[in-house]
Amino acid sequence: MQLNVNGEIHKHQGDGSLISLLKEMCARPERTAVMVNGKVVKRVDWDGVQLKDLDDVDVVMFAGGG
Amino acid sequence: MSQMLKIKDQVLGSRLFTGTGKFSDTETMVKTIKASGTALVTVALRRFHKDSAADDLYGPLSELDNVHIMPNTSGAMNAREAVNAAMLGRELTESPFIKLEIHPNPHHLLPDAIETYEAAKILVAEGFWVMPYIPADPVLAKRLEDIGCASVMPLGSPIGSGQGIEVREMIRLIVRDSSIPVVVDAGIRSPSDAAAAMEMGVDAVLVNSAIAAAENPEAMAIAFAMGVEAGRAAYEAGLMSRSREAVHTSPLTSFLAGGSV
Repeated sequence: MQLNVNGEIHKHQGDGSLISLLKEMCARPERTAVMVNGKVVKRVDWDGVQLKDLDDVDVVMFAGGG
Repeated sequence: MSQMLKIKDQVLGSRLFTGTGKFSDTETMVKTIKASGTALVTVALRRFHKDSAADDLYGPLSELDNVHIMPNTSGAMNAREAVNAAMLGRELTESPFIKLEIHPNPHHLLPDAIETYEAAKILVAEGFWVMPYIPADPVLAKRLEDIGCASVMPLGSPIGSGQGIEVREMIRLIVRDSSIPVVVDAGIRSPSDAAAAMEMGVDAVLVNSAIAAAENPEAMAIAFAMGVEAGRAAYEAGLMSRSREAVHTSPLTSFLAGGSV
């Protein structure tokens, strides 16, 4: 499956669940927040999210800022 | 002991808020935040990439005791993007604090008042404690208070510029009319800038670059904490009024002139 992750093309090898994408990215779930196709997905809803081909996924983390 | 600062339901033990940007390394950042005595720290959001996972501040920030984390919406170009950023931030902090900042022009980083106002309305309705970074405009500040913002954060001068408080009279008007905390955010360079803001009755200051870019950030954080304390104490003590002319402090009786020696 081909996804657009953080603005870049990403060939996803997993089962298409959001959780498997995060695992593939080596992202620690508790330290990331996720938006799919421009909509924030709350952590409590992650389990049910199944991604589709060409979905836009943004995965963010904390970084230094003022 | 100065009066405690309260934002919405939260009492904060310090009137110095600090940022997490521009530090040379995470260890220095953590030591500096601790030294500052701050109770509220801002943090940005960034796209995750496994090669930059070491820059993730979640771990270091969650080790800080009694410090609230306030994500900012930096990078948002409009209200819609800022609302999304705020929602993402809340997923990480599980806290209602949000620093709303929308500054689309990278040359001056001045806030877009219209987009900020639109985003604030949405975020307040979503239950956020919205702390908007704004131009020092008393009318805008009042409008943001009216729609339920938790505070307003007028700039002293452009972000990271170290130009100090260039809009003193506008901030004075905001303080005079505001029933929510006023936080001077951006432009502060020195502890005396912070003290000057506090003496005007500002409720808190947010300082990032001036601490993080100091030769010794930890020592500078302590200096800022003292400046903020001194300024607040002076405000609460009540400054004397200004006079255009000298007013003598000692008797002016001419006892030396004309007398016999």
